[in-house]
Amino acid sequence: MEIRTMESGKAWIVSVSGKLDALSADEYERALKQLIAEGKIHLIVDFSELSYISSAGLRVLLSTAKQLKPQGGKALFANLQEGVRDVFEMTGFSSILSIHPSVEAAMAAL
Amino acid sequence: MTAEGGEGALGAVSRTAELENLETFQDFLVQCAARFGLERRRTGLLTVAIEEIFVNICHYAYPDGPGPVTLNCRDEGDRLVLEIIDEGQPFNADTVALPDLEADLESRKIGGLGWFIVRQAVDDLHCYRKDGRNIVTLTLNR
Repeated sequence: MEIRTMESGKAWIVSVSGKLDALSADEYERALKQLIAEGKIHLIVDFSELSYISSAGLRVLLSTAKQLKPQGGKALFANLQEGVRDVFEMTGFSSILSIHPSVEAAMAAL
Repeated sequence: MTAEGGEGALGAVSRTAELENLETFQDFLVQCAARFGLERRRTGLLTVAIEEIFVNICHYAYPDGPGPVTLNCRDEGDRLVLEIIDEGQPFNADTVALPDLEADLESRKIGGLGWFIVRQAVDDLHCYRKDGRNIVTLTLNR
């Protein structure tokens, strides 16, 4: 997994590539915690290059979303690929997280 | 058809229960699913199911240090059958609570999703203990 962060207007775009699994979930959580600690709390997570997610990955998406909420922040998710979307839909995550077809659409919804 | 390991055998792989071996099991699974002709999306979900089961074994089966895990794949013609076998502490997936899928962000509990995904990814899930081994059988109908 690789995470790249880029400022874009009022939000930070967090591009995640590779796999979000039991081996990489902690790294994602650390990276997001760091952003939140730096006050970067309006996040658009771009999953266009994320090929895979498991429950370990879902767990850290949920925990970071919960950390953002009391600070008035938000994470929006864009560009879910087929395998990731299937897991989101199966587990109900597509209705508890904010999902958007593109980074632009997420930006407009922020 | 006669292959090594009995009729319909697609092969087996054994490694110790350590997370770094996850990809070996998943790569093997993808090969078996391709030979069986399983659809891409079902294969994708099955890869996640294998992680959930393997990670569970890594975390709970061997408190005194990692022991062996084996993945067996079999083509039974009308179905693909996978067996994940460990020699650790007794475990039964039936005792694992299901997540509340209706809960919103605030009340949604973190975790509990692994076995739910496994159940959804397959047509049949069967767990049993035999000769000091935990055996999880996953069946995917053609």
